[in-house]
Amino acid sequence: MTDNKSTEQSESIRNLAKAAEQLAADDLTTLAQMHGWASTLGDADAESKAQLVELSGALEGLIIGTVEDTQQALDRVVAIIGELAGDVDGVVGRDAGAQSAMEESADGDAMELLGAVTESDASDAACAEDVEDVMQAPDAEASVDAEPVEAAVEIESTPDVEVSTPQLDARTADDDAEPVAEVDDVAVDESAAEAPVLMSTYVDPRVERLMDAAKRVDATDMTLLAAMHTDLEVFSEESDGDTRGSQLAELVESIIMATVDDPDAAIEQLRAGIAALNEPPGEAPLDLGSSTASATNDAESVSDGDIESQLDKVFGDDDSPEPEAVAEAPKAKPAAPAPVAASSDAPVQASYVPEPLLIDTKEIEFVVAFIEEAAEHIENIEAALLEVEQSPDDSEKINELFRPFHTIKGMAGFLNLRDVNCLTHEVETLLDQGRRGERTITSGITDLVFEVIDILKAQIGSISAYASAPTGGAIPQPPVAEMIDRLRGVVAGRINPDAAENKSQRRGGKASAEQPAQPAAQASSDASSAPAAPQPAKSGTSAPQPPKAVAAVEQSVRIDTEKLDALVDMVGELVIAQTLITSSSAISGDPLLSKNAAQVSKIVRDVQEAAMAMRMIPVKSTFQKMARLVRDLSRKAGKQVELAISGEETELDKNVIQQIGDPLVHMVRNAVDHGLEPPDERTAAGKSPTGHIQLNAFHHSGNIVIEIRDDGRGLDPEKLKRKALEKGLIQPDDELTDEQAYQLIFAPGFSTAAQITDISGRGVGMDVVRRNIEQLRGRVEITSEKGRGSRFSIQLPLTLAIIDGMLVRVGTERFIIPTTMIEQALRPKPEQLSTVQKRGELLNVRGKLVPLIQLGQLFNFTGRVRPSDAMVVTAHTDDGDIGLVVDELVGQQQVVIKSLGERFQGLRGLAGAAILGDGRVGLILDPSGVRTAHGQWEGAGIQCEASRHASDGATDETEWSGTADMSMRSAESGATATVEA
Amino acid sequence: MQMGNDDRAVAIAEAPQMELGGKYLTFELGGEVYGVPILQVREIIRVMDITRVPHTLPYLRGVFNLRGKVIPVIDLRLRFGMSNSGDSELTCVIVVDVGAQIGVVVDEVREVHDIRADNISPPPEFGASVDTECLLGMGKVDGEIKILLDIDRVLGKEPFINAREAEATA
Repeated sequence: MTDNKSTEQSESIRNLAKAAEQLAADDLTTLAQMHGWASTLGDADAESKAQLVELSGALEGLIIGTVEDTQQALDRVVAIIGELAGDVDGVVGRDAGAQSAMEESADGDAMELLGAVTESDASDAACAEDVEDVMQAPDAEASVDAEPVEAAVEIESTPDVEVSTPQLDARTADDDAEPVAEVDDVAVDESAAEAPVLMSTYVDPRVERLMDAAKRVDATDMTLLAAMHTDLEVFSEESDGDTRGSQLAELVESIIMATVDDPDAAIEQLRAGIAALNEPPGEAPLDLGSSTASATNDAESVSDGDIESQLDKVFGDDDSPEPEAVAEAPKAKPAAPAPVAASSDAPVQASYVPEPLLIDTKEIEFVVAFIEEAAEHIENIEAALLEVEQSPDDSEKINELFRPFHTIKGMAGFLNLRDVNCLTHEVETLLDQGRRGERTITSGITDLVFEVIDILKAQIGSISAYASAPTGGAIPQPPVAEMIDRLRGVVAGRINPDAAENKSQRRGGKASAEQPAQPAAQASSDASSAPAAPQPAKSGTSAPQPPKAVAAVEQSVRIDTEKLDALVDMVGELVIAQTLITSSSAISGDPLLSKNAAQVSKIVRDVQEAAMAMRMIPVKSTFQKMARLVRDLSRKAGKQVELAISGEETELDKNVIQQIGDPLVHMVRNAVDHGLEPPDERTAAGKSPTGHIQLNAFHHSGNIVIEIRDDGRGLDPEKLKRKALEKGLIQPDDELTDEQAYQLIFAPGFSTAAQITDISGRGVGMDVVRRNIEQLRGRVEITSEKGRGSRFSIQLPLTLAIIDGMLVRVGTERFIIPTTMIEQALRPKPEQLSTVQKRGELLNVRGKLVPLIQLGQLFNFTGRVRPSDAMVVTAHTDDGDIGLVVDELVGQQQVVIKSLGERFQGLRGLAGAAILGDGRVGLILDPSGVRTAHGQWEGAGIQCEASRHASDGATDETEWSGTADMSMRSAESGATATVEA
Repeated sequence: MQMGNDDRAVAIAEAPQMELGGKYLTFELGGEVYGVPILQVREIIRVMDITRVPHTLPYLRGVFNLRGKVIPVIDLRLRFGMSNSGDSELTCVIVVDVGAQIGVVVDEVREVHDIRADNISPPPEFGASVDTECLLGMGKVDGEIKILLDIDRVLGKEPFINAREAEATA
């Protein structure tokens, strides 16, 4: 840090400041010069360095032309230089005029100037040529060529110069000292297990910035990428022997140059890598220094290969016997024992030592996002795994399986979730062996991976529990360590997965016996067509879908449902406003206007449809879960089952899909356990030993139907009736149709399974299934043929947000009764009516006595009306039908359900509100709630009469208090009575 | 709610009164003039079709559609125990934000006043007959008294469900 050097530096900064005054995005000469100056400033203290790095990054972005918002980048450059200059001698070379001049010329043509630049002078020309290369041939080589120039400039620079910055603080000292310490750490620290995840209290500011940038960066953010690139370069220069920096820099470069196939995966890689930077390099430091150049060339040669293999090469060590495993090591938490320990003194791999979950509270939101994303990836994994199981030799399918694991690994590494990171890493290693043909994916392996998925799910569940309550009680720990050790054993060839599977007996004793028989059975089922299956169901347990579809990257944006709801609200208003306009007489008189208005209505309808469609997601993921379920169940039950899925692209409201999962699981379980016979029984009945289950989803008259068919033994109505009689669910003289008998299986406590298995047969389930489906305003229909199979068809509304309703008038108010609840509407004849104690009214509907509820009276809107003068709508409730007495049926209408808000919670009889066609709010009735409210009202009515008299005196008292207690409430209810009276 | 005049703010003795100065929307209710902090006012609309909700507190007029949102509406006269003589041409709904949006029916909206903190005196004591909990203070503008409301307290947080039902359920 000599005076001489700092003078040099000040000069550079002054030069920069001067240049910045006339800076324009298309002035490549100046930009290149500035980049050079910025580089010569080299190793300064932490504060300036941060700025310089950003400056270089921004300049580079401008030169290469990868910056989206040139103006913004320019402004940033000027601002940084201004700061630097201010730091040096207080002269800020920046004025408004210069800036505005710059703005004007910012959008010039870069290529045009490029020619001029090339001729200008030698050093600039070198630079410009590189720039040209980069621009014209955006491949790895060009960017590699560009590097030496920059590197050369940087080497010339004087690392010890220190700029006198006012911001200089104590951290500078740390900054100088720590990188060395970090390297020392690496050399000394050889014991793998001792290194804790959060070991380094010191965080290199650059790494910190990188990590911060990694969180925000995406493949299109060139400015940030460029800045990261520069940071990484400096990092790699600073930390001798740690080549991770330069490797990552190359990765960034390839992202910028768009030479990677999957930029998102590359970004994930980058994040994982950067997350790992903060810790010392792996226990067996990878000496990759010499191989970097060749690795880069490799990278170029495989530039059209997939990102993993490219990275493998980039990160690979030429001497390593297991390139993939070593390659992953820097990305995996280095604190973890390297899975394939490169150090020769490790005789046998050490067992994985699990660690307590440690999540930085600042990272909770990332963890939550991770949990969500991971769930999606796991779904993809399951789907892909089922396919791999079918065609174990298809490396493309293994690739599809590989990718989501890889993404999870990257995210987990980034978030320091070591267990998940390690687990996925091991699976990856295993799958990679399969992908490269070094290992056949046997059923033992797929079983193993399925187990891994379960553990992964459990672990992510634990993380989720931890994230929601970090200080909460004990978090269940799935056996991650055991699984990791097992995986390692398999990878190293010490454990035979197929043998291990049999030994562990995890899937029940029958599994191993079943397996050899299965291919033969499948073949025979292919030959003899399944008798009861109307559709060809030969595609096995997976969906008859083009394989590509599963891996198709879904382009989607996560949107807060609140925003969606707001959009739907506004569109609803738009429809109402538009109706008011189109129905006005002024429009109907003018042909042109009415034509335009019609056009507007059409558009508005489309907009409404589009807004509603945003809530819809395909039923696919739910069906995929069923595929997994059937696979597991069939093994457990010792049955051979083929599941055929169709219509998985059918879309349903997200809420419906979330809630249909459990009922569907129950029904699929039932189909496997009760519906399908064991193979011998099937053969005896002349069927193929393999049972078939079909899962379909389709639209039917405005509803979605989900259908579960099996070709099993079918339901026996007589048996059902006998059973129901035994259980006292029906009376001996009850005449039941077959359909009614089928519905008996939904009765609470009804189960026909002779034996209770751990899958089903406990008699809980089907009643819950029906209740869940009814909560979704759906219904279940059963058709069955004895010996041929059954069909359960669940009819669901498209969305929970919209219901079909019957609009009824009660006094001056209008209410909506959900159509699914309505049995019938009628004007009762006097002879159908009877009363009990002159109060309770009953309606005789074809021999069934239905209690009547006077809505007007219940709601205190009108008095009692004579039912014979009114309309009665009979509706289903949990406790039987009721008759709602209303003044008039206004009509049927589809309405969007809206919540009344939390201050109406606990209001009985109302399910919500809806905006009616005229813009008014209508209340949606909940018949079950009306029934309970009615019961309470009848009981409370008398008390109420009494309290009304008692509290009459209190009505003059004003109630101001916002904190109402019970006594105040009763006083208020007194006031109510008065007002209403 | 920034202080109107920093220099003279010291004149107000009580610390909580310090931040009271600011803009208030004033309105008439039963011949009295009230004010609510303008920052809590979302909009002022004419009385629209209000749907009654059964089994709710008497001062809850019902709910109405505010551009696709279902918003509860309070009758402030009934809330304050005054009689309701029916709506007039001038009757308005002030939509205020108290966490959620709630409409407040008032007789007539007046104007917006900038009331300096030193023109606001603490609410007087009326004994038990008037609850001053939900008053911010008494503002003076050109000799006229404006009753400044703590609208959060006026509207409370409790459900609008009628107490009778609460009793019946209990």
